[in-house]
Amino acid sequence: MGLNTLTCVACNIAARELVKYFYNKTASEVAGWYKEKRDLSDLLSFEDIKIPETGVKGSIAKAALKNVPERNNGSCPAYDLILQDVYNIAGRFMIEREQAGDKEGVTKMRDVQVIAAFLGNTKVKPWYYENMDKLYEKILKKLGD
Amino acid sequence: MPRVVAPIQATMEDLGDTVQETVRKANKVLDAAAAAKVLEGLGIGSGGSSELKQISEAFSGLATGLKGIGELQAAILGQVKETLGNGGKGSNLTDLIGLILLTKMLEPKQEKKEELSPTMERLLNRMEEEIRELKENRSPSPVDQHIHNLTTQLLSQHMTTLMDPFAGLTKLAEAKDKLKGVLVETSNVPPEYSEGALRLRALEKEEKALAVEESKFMAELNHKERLWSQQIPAIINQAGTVLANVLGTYGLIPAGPLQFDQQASTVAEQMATTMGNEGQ
Repeated sequence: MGLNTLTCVACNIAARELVKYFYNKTASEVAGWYKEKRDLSDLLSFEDIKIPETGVKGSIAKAALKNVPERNNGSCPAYDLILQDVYNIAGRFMIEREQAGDKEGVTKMRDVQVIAAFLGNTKVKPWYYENMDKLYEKILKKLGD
Repeated sequence: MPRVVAPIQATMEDLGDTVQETVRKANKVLDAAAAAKVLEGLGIGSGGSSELKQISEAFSGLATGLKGIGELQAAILGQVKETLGNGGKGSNLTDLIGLILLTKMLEPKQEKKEELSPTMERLLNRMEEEIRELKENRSPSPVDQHIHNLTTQLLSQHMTTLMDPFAGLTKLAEAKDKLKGVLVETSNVPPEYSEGALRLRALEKEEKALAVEESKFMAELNHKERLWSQQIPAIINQAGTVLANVLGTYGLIPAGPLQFDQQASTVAEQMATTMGNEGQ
């Protein structure tokens, strides 16, 4: 099963937002949330995410989000792609920070990579999917759909 | 056939003296010869002829008697006419009525059996018996017999058809079975050259040819398989790239498994295990 380009773009945007959010979080902190089974959607803030609600851009956004929560043999390709994007983006930023001589930045980006790997772990993935579904519902409400 | 008339048995009390005299005359008028013949026919008199002859003679006598009665009637009517023509002179009304009554009595009557004489009754009984015997013993005509037989046969066939509508089919099947045995060709062909043996040999040859073809095909497949096994990894990679390009052209990106570096995956696994255990 493949994802269409719009969904991939939406996943990339979501991954960038997650990288920003996890930049100031440690892997241990996220692991604690998992341990406490906390609601990730409550922790994330969408106030600074500007989603076009009307017009062509709104239609594109809706089309992009259309197939996000679809499952394929138990796995969710869109949610997995988000994690992969988070890991890849963090990897690129890590190289940038390394080149810039920003050791703290490198460590933080490495932590983001570990968080992505943690959320993609077989044991943690169900909790991650569950929280992503809640996030999806909130985004849809924000779209007014 | 002349009717047999009963002997006149009038009630004489109803008649006057003149009428009684007239009746006496009438009795005399009856043909004595006819009476004799009747008696003779009935076997009472002397006679040596056959019964039928006797019967015919008896009827002849009766006819003569009737003729006499007719003549008597005519005589009486003539007397009545004369009496009326004379204007009733020398006679009275009683005589006239008597004559008329006598005329009526002399009219032929329907015979009643109980009024017959015992001799006549015996004769009639015998005749009836003979007629009945003749009817009973009469054998049917050949034509009637033939028609009867045909009708019976047709009815029997019809009933058989009604009782078993598939009888015809059964018979046909039986006949077919019989013909099968008859129509089988009996030839002196040796068993090894019989049709079955020849066909079997042809099939065996065909089977051998197919086996040869199969072995050739299998050898070719094995050769191709060896070639493919050497080239498959490169082909798969190439096919994957082509597929990814095609999907990309149509805006589709294949979803692959998550790929993290080994270190990050190990750390994540340790954390997940630890938190999972603690969470439980």
